[in-house]
Amino acid sequence: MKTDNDLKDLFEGLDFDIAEPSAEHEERFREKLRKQQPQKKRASHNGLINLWMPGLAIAASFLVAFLLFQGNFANPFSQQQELANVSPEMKQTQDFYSSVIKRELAALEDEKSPETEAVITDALKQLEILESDYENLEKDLGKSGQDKRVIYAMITNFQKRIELLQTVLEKVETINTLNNNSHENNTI
Amino acid sequence: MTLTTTHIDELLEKCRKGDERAQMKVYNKYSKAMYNVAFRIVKDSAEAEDIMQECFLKAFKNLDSFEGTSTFGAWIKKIVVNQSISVYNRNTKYQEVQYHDEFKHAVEEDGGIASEEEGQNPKVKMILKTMQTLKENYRVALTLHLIEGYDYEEICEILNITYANCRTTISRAKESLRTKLLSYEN
Repeated sequence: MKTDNDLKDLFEGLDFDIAEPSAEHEERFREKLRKQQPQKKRASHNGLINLWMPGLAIAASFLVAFLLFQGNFANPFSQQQELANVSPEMKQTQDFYSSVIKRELAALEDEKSPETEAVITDALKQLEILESDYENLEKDLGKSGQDKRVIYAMITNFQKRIELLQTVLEKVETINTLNNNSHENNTI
Repeated sequence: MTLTTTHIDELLEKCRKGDERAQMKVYNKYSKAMYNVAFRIVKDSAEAEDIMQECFLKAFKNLDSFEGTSTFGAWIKKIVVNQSISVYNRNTKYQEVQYHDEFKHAVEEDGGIASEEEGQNPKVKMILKTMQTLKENYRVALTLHLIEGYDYEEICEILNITYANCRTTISRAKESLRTKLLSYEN
């Protein structure tokens, strides 16, 4: 069965590139190359501009960063940043939570009575702790460049405060009703 | 000629940046081989040159898509082969009527070129001449298989035919070439 390999052997090692392209093909190609890539021709003196590009880019990014910085902060020299500065939605969130907290606090004040005073002062102390946490988070927000995790932490902080106020309110209410009940019992 | 000293990868890197001198160096390095690849398929020197140059322009333009999985030579050769086949198909479609005239003319022309180079490589010349006498589809398939060195699968893809079709065509083409070579030799 030499039949299948004889042709392969015949062709092997032979240089079939015997045709020569016509004499001026190189010149013609150079012309085509130049015609096709007029922008590439500029590449030769683009070298100088290329050297400037990184510097320019850095300067531009500094400028942009500075403008953003100024736009975002009421006071550009303070690290502290409010949640409301992140986005309009966050401003809404902050407004919502703070109004809820205010309302709950006012409700708590209303419930204040000699029996519940201990519970309420305790709650207020805890609230203060949460508030100082929140202030730290505000600093973090500035430092981290509005990191999402910090934003979430701030929102959870709000939620915790509301939760705390609600549980305290519930407790105070039960204390008050208990007392009322006992008074009623006493009178009967 | 001091062109082969620079490594091809460095040259290509410069080509990517649009360095004309590097592009010309790459062109000079591969142009003859690519011209021959195109010429063997389309059988017309002006057309072959056009195809070859167009492919170089295309290759330089799309150099970013060359990932280095094959050599640059193999990459550009594939481009040239595909381009040549599409030109060849277009020509055979448009010139169905004058087809035979064209063929004869090409053979004569080729004979003329070959005679200039007589003595250089009579064996190659003889083989190429014999291949010109084959049926057109045999000639193209055999050129791709035996000279350009593509396997069946690659040829199916290039010629856009089925694997079975490709196998049969090539084996028949081989048979035909074999008998013709024998009759020439004797």
